[in-house]
Amino acid sequence: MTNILTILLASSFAGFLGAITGLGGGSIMVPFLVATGIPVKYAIANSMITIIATSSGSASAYVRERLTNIKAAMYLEIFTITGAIIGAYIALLAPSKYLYFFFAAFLSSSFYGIRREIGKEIQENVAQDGISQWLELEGSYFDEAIDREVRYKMTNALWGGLGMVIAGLAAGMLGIGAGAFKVAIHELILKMPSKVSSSTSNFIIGMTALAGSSVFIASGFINLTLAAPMAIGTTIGSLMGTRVLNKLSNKTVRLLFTIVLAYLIVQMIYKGVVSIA
Amino acid sequence: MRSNNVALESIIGYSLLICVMLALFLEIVGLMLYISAGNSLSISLDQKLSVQEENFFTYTLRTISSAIRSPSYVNLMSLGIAILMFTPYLRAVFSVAYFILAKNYKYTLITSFVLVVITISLMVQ
Repeated sequence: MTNILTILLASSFAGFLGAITGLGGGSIMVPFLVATGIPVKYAIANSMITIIATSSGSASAYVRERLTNIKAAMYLEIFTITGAIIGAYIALLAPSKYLYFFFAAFLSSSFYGIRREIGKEIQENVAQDGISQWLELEGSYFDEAIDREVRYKMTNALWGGLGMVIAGLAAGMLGIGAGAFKVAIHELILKMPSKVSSSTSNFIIGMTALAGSSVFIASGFINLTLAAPMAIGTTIGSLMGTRVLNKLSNKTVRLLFTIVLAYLIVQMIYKGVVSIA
Repeated sequence: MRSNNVALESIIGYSLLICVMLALFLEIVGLMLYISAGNSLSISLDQKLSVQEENFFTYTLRTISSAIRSPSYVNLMSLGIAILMFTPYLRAVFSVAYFILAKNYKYTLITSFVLVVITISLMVQ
């Protein structure tokens, strides 16, 4: 079985990557822990700590830098939590093995969509629909990469909300943070700038993960020699990631995200094939 | 409206930073005490090192009281984890309080819904 120092290093990497791409890091830490001999139930329960640490570590900086759009996060959280609760109930009734292919297909379409958008630095002049306007879904932040204040508006609030139900379903059915789903919906449907998308996803995933935490607390699978180094590593990694994100161009953020997305698509298909075999 | 948003962002951002740093400090101290007590660096899945409570709130309250009574490495690491887990909840609480004070009833309703759902899910046994 692995040791505390290895966990510290791996979770620092997961936190760093999570803070930049808007992912919780569970999709990196769970396979890593299982590969190093940690039983899968412990790996899943303790990865919840990774998700919360990435979320809170990065949000503490992104919120102050106005990269996170709190209003959008709170509005979208309604749909994510609802989806996660429905997903958890469906998971009890239906086998999850075929769902991997459905979610792999969803992520593949997001991969194609994000790839098409890679060349665009900032999506300005977005025509806002009535609901998005009523929900005050807009904001501004200082972009260090292009050295100017970026003002942005979001659109398609209703479709974005419905998309977040799918992200919530994925989280509830498969026991994942579903950050990749959220970032894709933010960018492709709501037209959030990449950096706002990553940081707002980071803000949301912590609350969604917390909503499901009682199950893990009651299960007894949260282990302190695993959770403490994971929390330390992820927090430090995510705080380091927050120092980098705003200096990167949106193109680089999207490119990093598509690489992680490709990894997740392969992981979903692999899990689906293994669960059927 | 813009200055209101900046105030909300400052309140949430600094509150999160304080909690995250406190959690980090407790986890580092707890882990150092664990190692200095002669335990190996290997991961131990011993039940004595596991967290198990009825739900999030009982876990948080019992952990705080245990850490005050006996600041052992188990209790300090456990308290660090509890504080870290409390941070997303804090975000929802501060957001509700802020939108009430700002008289933004639309977002008071939205954030209240999120807070109520999270609270109920955390009370589930």
